[in-house]
Amino acid sequence: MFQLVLEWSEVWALFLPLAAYYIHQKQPAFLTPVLIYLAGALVLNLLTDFVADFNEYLPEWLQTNLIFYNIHSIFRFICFAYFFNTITYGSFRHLRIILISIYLLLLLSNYIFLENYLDQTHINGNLFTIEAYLLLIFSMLYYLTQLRNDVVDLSSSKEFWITTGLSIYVVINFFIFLFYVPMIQENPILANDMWNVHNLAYITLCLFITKALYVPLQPDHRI
Amino acid sequence: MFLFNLTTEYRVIIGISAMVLLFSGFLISFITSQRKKLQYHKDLQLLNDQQQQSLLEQNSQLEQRVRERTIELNQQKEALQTSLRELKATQTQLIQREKMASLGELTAGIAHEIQNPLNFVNNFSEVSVDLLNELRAEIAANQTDNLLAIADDLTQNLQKISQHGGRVSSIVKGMVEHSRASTSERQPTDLTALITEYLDLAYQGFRAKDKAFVCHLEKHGDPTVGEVNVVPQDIGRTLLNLYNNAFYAVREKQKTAADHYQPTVRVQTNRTADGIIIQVVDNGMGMSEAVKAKIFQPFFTTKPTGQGTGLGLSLSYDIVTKEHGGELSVKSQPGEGTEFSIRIPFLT
Repeated sequence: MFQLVLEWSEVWALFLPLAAYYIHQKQPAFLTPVLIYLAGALVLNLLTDFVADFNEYLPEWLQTNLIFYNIHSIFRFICFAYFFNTITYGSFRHLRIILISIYLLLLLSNYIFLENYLDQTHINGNLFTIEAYLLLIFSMLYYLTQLRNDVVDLSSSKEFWITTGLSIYVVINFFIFLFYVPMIQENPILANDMWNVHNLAYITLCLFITKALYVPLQPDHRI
Repeated sequence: MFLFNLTTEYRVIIGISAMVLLFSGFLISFITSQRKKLQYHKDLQLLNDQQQQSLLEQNSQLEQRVRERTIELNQQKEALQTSLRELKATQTQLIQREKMASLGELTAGIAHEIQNPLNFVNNFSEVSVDLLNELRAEIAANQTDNLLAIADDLTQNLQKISQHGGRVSSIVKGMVEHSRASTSERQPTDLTALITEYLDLAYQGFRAKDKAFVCHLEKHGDPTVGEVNVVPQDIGRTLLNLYNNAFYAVREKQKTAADHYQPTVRVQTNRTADGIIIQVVDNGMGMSEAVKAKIFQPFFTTKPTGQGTGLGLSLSYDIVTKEHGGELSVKSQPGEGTEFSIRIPFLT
């Protein structure tokens, strides 16, 4: 039962920030990409878990959910890259453009040289690793900006909680994604357990986003 | 088939390298920004020190200038105090001079006033000598019929001599009081007598200087005025100033007026509910508004140089307003005449 709850955590965890948003709909404009992500992630994760648990009732071409993970990964990168672009406007502008370019380049290189994103039998750990690493760099850039600006009270801002949740998620999952392919080949039980760790990290991310939605609006933020 | 297959070892190397790269980059960026910030603060501190130093120098200069200026100001203050003392001394001297001037103007009138009783004294003395001779002759002839009558005449003569001597004495006393420094003590004074006495003295004084000057004098004393608490010497001085100005004004007008012009000076007293009003009216030259606005200012005079000090009306104004708490006002029409009004309130 606990395992089932953990497996479906990618779906129900998303209801926490969505419910918070339903209660506190008055949110600043820079949270829009995050809210879009939550809505998109709910659809994608619902499809992912539904296919995983009810594949016996589905047609043959829909027996695997790996394609949804790939779409989710790219969608998450786009949403959070846009989010970071909004909140750290003016700082490291060139570096952010370079990071997006690197992501596209690595995405293409990975597809050409390492992984076939359309292969339904092979999980694309490298794709997730690239996404996690670059999002971690985005998070670090945010912290660096705050440190440079001598921000005294970091925790009073919404973006801090979202960035921190995302940092925890990507730091944990960077290594899980990096070693997931060899792990699944050599020790599937460990890989399965590690996926539970991923799910716990995902719940943490959702909790931090929920907290961000509850943080009072700062005077300098526009709705 | 793919070109590369990442083994676990490669993945470990990639993972560690990526993390080292990320955190090294983060640390380098952070340290660089901190160093820049530190340098900025150092520069700021340096600038602050320089500004502080500059401020200290400016403060020091400013203090020096303040000290110098204070010394200058003290010197100026001392000079001003000296000037003020000298000015006060000069003012006292001027007031005394004005007093002496008015006394001078009175002298002729006083001489005339003294001359009359002295004439009486001389005449009665001569008559008394004759009567004594007559008395001796009667005694020598042993005729006693007229002795008592002659003695009565002598007694009357001596009484007249005494009376006129008293009159001279009172004039001299008044003169002494006039020249003496004012005690500023009010005393019940017969205002009508004071006004009349000073009018006569002023007129006689004026006539002594100009024998041809004849002026019609009108005295309208209110019998209910009675005795009023004033400083008689000072009110007398004020009246003398007003009379002299009035005589001067009518005499000046007479020089250019038609033959039928009769110089007239009228003095009038009235008792009101709260005080006494004394009016001195002349039909002289009158004053323009510009002159009228300045007449109570010290050292202002329309008289030729040497004939007036310009302090008479100023002192009179002070005597009436400050000493007696009254009012001294003036109404005048150029070519028509002038009316000065003194209002002296009763003491409450």
